[in-house]
Amino acid sequence: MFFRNLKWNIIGQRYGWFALSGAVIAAGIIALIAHHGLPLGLSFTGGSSIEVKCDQTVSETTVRQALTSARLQDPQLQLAAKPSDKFPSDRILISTQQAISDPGPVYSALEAAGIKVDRTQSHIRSVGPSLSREYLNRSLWALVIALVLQLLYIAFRFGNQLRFGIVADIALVHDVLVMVGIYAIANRKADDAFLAALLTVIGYSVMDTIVIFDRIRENGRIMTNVSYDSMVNTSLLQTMTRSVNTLLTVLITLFALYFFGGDTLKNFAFALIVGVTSGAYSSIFIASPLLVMWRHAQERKRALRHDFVLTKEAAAPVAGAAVSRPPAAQTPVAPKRAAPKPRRQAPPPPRYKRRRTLTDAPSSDGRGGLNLLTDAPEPQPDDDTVEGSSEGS
Amino acid sequence: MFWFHWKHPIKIAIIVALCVGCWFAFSPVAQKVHLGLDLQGGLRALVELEPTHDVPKIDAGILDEELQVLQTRLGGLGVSELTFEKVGADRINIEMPGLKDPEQAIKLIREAAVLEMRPLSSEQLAKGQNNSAALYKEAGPAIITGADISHATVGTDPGGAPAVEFTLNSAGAKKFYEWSSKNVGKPLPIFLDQKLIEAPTIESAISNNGEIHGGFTQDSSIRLANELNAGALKVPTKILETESVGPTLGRIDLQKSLVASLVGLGVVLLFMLVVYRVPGLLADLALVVYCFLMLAYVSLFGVVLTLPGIAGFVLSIGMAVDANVLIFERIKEELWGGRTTRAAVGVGFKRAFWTVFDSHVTTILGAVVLYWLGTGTVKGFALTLLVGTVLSLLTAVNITRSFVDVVVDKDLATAPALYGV
Repeated sequence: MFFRNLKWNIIGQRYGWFALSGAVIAAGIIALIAHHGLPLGLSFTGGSSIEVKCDQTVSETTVRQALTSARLQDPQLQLAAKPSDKFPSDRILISTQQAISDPGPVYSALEAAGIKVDRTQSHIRSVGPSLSREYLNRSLWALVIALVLQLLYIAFRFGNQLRFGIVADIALVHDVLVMVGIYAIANRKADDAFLAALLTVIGYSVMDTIVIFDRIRENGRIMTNVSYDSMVNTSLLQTMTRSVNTLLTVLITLFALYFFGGDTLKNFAFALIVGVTSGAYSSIFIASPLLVMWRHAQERKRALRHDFVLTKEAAAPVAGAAVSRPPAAQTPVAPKRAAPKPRRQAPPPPRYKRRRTLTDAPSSDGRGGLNLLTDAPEPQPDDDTVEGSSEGS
Repeated sequence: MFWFHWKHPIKIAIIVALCVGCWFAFSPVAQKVHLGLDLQGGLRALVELEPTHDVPKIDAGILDEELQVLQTRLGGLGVSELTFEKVGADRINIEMPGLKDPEQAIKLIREAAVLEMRPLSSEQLAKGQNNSAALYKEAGPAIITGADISHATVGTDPGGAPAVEFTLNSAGAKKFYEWSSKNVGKPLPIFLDQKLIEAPTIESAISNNGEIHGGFTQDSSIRLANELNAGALKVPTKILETESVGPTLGRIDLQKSLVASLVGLGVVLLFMLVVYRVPGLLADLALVVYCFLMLAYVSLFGVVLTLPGIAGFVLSIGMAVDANVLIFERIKEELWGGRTTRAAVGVGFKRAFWTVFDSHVTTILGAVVLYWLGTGTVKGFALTLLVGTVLSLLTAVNITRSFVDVVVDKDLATAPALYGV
């Protein structure tokens, strides 16, 4: 209701949205370079992490001294405490590249130094080096297979309309890039929970894009009297409440996990919050404008082809065509931009004039504009009017 | 579908019966739902069997034998829900939720427990007192091995220190009697995993039982008795991955994740009610039915609930409601378009169905891949998300529809405002 009546030209602002995404992704890439790749979690690097809860405050030096007898390779120490703990800095986080399956020596080394260890609140995880490589491999495969499956599903859903499928794919890649980038910026370690989040987000992103594209296809059949730009924009505003509400319901549960769940869930919820938000954003602000731009490129190409035919048939260019150009609200075809690469045989100057003549000439119903849906010069094989199983919502 | 041609009272009765059935399936929750070791504390270990000179290839038979031995050994630790799962050709995943002493369990998994009694002369023994490996090489062929022992128990030596008492089987007893009667006064060192643990001297001919004192602690004597009873491992084990969670830590995580789930569920219920009014309330009812179904599934199929599993469940709540948002937004649009509530509801459900279906298919695709290739605990997430997605397609569409139909047919809510318009 709120969004429906809004005069919000999302398509017109597309370069702003692209810039926003570009900035986030660029920052992510810089962070990735700075970290020498995505920081990986224990499952993928191998080694051990040991969280020991002590019944007293400990200092790093005493712990480090105590641990010498446990003979750990290059242990990284970190002291922490939880709000509910009785003593400040009573938790020791030890991480090492070594895979320690038996925590006994670590405990006894600490106990020998007089540190009281609460074993009921300790946590140990260790992964052997060969297994971590295997896990990383399997996870990458999982990512690739999931992407391919989603691409296949997109192809199945938009089989006869290549443009929709490819743009949905771009949105998908966008979301993966944003997730990886933000993870790198936040310097969080990507572990198997991150993989789970990635695969979930991929599904969510595809779903969200399909919902909006279905509406665009549906409106493409009904709204034949407005430009493609405003039709897409209207579709976005119509589905905006849905987009926002579905995002909100998922975010509600994710924020509940983030704020009330334990540390493990926090990490997982963070990845999903980033990914799901990006998934919803990309469908509206990336995929749909790209669809419009693709359409414009097609129009230009078609105009060129048509032009060429016209130049051959009638040599005289139509003068004054540019004068009748209506004030373009959403100027999708930027006249200032260079014409696309000419076909080899076509002579450039008259074609350029012709092109503008064709696209800008008043159409049969007297309404000026860029509408090629009604006065398209030739059959359009992948037009929106193609019957498809599209029940947008 | 037949469902939509049935009369309302029948449908409602079926839904109520379903809920009652679920209630009996999962109540009381504390007893029926099995908690994973990350929620109640415990140990998980992924063990790989390593080929040796004698056993160059790990085949199914070896894997089974090894699993048997490990099962018997770890069975003595008093863990009620011990699970062993073969992974691939040469791996065993062991889960021990509720395990109190992970260090003991790790040793039980690791130690081959090959017990050998090999003769050595007193001079050799005196010379190489501190070098087990050298002594093991010098010692003669084994007189008695772990395989000759029929039963071992924990006892105490005259000084009160823990010891392991063993009884030999008949073949072992015969061998032992023959050797000891000829070698009175000579030492017979006992090696465990090629390490000298004791070098007793034969005082008289022994036939069928004896005692090992190896400077044991209570724990290590229990372990050795346990290992002797279960038998030695056929091939050495290598621990690839372990996770050990303290019980208190697990309980804290359980409480936190329960609070998170309830808060998430509560806010989502409220959100739907405020935004979509009457249908929102009905969707909330359907969501409660969904939660009942999920709990019943977890109880009936003995699914072990883990932290990632709970995350999957919570996420599926958010996604279950998504379907309702799609449908109700569509109904609102139809109402704006000037349709009557009855027509708008019919068209809304029909037009939104394929979109809802899409959203479920894409989620299921991801979950299936994750379940197939995911590692360790992530599988739990994938499984609950998968089941949750399938169940939510049922509740969010069919059950919500049944409730909405009743309201519409009885003209209980005709004003568009009640639909959030």
